[in-house]
Amino acid sequence: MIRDHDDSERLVETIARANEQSNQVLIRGHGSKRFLTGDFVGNALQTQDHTGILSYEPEELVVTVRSGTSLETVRNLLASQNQMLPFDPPSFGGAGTVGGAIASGFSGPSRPWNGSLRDSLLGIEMVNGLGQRLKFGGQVMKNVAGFDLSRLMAGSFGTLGLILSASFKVIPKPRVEISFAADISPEDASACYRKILQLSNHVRGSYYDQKRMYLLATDVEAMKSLDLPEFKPHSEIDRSFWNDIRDHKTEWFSNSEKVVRIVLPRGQQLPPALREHSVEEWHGTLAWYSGNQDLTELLPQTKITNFRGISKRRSLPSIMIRLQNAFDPNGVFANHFVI
Amino acid sequence: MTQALALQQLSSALPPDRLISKEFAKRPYETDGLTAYREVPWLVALPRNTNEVRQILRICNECSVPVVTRGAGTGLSGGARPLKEGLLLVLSRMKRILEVDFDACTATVEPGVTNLSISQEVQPYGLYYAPDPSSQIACSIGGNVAENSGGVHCLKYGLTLHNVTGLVVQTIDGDELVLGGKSYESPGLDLLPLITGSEGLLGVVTQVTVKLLPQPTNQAVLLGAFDSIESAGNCVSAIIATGIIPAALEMMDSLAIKASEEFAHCGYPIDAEAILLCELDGTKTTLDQDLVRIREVLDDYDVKDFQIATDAESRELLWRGRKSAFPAAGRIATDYYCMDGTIPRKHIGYVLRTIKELGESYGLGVANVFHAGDGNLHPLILYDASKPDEIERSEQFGMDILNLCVKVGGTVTGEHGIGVEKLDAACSQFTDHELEQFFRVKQAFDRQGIMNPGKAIPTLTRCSELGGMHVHNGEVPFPEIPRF
Repeated sequence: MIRDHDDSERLVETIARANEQSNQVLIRGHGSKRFLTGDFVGNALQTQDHTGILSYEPEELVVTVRSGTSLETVRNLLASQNQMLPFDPPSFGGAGTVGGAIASGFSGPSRPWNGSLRDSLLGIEMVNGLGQRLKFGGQVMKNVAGFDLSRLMAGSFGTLGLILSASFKVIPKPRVEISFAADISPEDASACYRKILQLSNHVRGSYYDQKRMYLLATDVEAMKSLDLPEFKPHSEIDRSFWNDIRDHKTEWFSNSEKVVRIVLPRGQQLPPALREHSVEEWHGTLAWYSGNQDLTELLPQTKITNFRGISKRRSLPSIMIRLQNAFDPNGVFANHFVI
Repeated sequence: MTQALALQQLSSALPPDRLISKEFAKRPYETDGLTAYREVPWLVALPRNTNEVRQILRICNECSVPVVTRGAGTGLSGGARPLKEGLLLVLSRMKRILEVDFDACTATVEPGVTNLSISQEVQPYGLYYAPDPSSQIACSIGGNVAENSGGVHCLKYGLTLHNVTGLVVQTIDGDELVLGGKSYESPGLDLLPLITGSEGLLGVVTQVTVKLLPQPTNQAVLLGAFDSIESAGNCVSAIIATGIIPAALEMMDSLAIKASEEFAHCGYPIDAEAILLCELDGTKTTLDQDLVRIREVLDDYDVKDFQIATDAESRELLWRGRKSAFPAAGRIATDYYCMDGTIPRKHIGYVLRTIKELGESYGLGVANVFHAGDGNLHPLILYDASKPDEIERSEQFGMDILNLCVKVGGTVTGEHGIGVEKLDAACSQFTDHELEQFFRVKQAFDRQGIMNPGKAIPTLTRCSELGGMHVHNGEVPFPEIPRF
């Protein structure tokens, strides 16, 4: 039974009042990403009571949910119809709300092949800093009416407004999922990644711990045609293996005191000095790093989340500040930081 | 006065062949793909590189001259219609492919490069660029970004947005925004989806990085013919419900079938009420399984004629009819008006039936060709512009269709954009507060409001005059935005 509770009136009212009284609010879901974003400070406005499925029609491949709904709930609902969110978002520690997933914009292991959270986001209802309820996008796959302000919310970390509900494109679960694995040296890893990228539409995940590389494939025949003979199918590596990586439940994550999230350009991997302290997803372009080197000098243009708070202090281009003002002229969400 | 100053400054900043000011030479630029609207611009500029674009924008900003950006001019909603007092910034001469990166599987190109030429460039390496609008032979990638163009294969492979990884954008205020690149994420707000589909209102795209995909190894195209449009419409939902996502799933109604067959001789059953074209791809084993399954679904919906094409030549033949549907419509009517609403798939049957009834009441023919898998309709309203009031009637008919789309939970434009054409229709889709939010976003990029003014976002005044339901205390917000 999915809890159905509309808390939107309170959420809108709180923001409207904060705007009138020149106060700030701090939007909070489950707080499951705090270990990456740091602790934002302020009056917490909890969204977790704003829950429920607003509509789900499997044949339309669309689900619309309230933002406080847990990702787990959405996942289970879709699984009951053999469907899934294409971007398969992480539920760190098993928690996480839909609103938090959108605000962070984080996507799971299938991201390079199934697209990002942003890509699957069809529409949202939100509250801007003026306390106005606004709807952008919708529930259809193609929609170019007006600026695409719904997708702008993906990865905006609460700086533009509070998300009330969202519609996502969903996809059928792959009919076949089989994991392949091989021992690969860091020097050979990039050649494997290149083949995967250039030749296959049938990979849905990659994981590499600097010794062993794992690939999730949806077609055995296609996998064989990749000319990666060292990779062997392993039926004992099932979906839970990939879910544990996605949700940071593996031994590597348990043993790492702190981790830093690094997103690299396609075709690149971390420099060798950083690699030995990291694990990789997304054909090497998403690295989780647990070492102590100074990343700012080594990776100047890269998106790095949680490196001694550096991401918070990064100065934003002026256009982004003007955009934040366009949504929140009076700074109701000023305690939020985009990363 | 400001224009004279702008012309003087532009002339000294740019080589002489970059500007067109003579009336007869400007004439070819008076319209884009929406030919019912024409206006000769004050000046046409044809820059050859980013630096020249920046100079032009700087001068226009200083002199407060409006700028309309144009790619190949194939857009269907009038987004690139010039302004009489404005500069038309034509990017078709910026057509270099700057880099193909095989490690990253990306291509970085200038905005004037045509959609198809990207795929042609990388074809020898087994790669291609997926979005394929029907104008792909002519339309430019910069225009694709401005409109977030789709095409028949976006059901499986996504729109322009899903296939562009990086943009370089020049704003009228002189900022150069480097958005994305080859990374899946970059620091800060993700402006890429905001720029994509913004119809030239926020800035000028001077560089585009696109994702390249491996070409599918095995493909098949199925044609199913139906006795009723409802059966075909319901069959679309049933195909999606199987869990198979076809590479493309298109539908045509009887008028479109007849016109296309006459034009392209592709073997379509001309007595059918509707046909579905379904393209599948994958490894041999998967493809064979999918073909069997789709065939079963078609049978469940009483398919009466069935063709299957697996080799390249016969596949191409089946697609030829669909792809020539627009020119074919041009042979059965002197003029046609192409609509672009999107609806939830489950309403396809109902909406098509209603469109037919509306057509009868307006006394106008309508042919339907559309991206059924996405629920993206393209009714072609057939009319004769030389007859009194037929343009007005066809526009009113079109407006009814778009309102119908919104009513069933859809949108007024799936892939062609609002442009000037659907400004009124957009009023029914957005509230005052939403429109105000759009204008505040525009102002963040364009303080003077001179980038493609009057397009894409209807003003509150316009909406209130139209419906009487959007009046906002009699106040006119954003009085500085030009109104048309």
